[in-house]
Amino acid sequence: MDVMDRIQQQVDSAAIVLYMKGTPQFPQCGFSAKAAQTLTSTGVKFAYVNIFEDQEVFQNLPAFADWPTFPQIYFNSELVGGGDIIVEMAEMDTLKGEMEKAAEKFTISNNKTP
Amino acid sequence: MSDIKQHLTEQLQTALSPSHLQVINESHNHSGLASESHFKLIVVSDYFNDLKLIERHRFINQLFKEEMAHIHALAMHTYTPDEWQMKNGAPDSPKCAGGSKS
Repeated sequence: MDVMDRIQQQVDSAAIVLYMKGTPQFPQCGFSAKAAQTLTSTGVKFAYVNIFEDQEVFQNLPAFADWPTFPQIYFNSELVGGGDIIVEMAEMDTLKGEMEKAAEKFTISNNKTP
Repeated sequence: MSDIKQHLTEQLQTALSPSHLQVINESHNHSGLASESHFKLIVVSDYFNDLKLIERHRFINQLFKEEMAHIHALAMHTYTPDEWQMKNGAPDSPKCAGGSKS
């Protein structure tokens, strides 16, 4: 499968997907660590992809949504932004609500198309 | 002032006429030898009034498309003058462990 199709499949596979360097338990970059911590702190479930485990995704993700840096966070298959945006949303107290909304939307659309 | 820092500052001044602008070289916080690898921007501009956060970041990513090839990290904090007044400061950037160098 083409790498862009694979990325599309990954962002479609969960309500919230974090692309990061390392894992939430063992992050390998401070910016990825901060993004994972911030998402975790909401208590809302999210999926993650360790870009170091997939060189092809690592190299092609910046072109996928025209975003040059990591981490990247997707809600309902759409890029929300990088780590700074997630942290900013948490500070404005909108992050948890947006994540819950994304999770709800994901559940509804997946029940319609089993 | 270092070359890259000055360059980033001038570009942002020209593009966004910010009412408040800080370009902070955070490279000393990080692993590796590069002395101009990590920067933090704090930009307050009227231009952001009608833009969502992702659109503001996209604008700056676009502005520094070529520079991004040489900079390891560019933390961005973008505010409208109203948001900046309510907020009074930008959060600290996390320490980077140099993950991309592995």
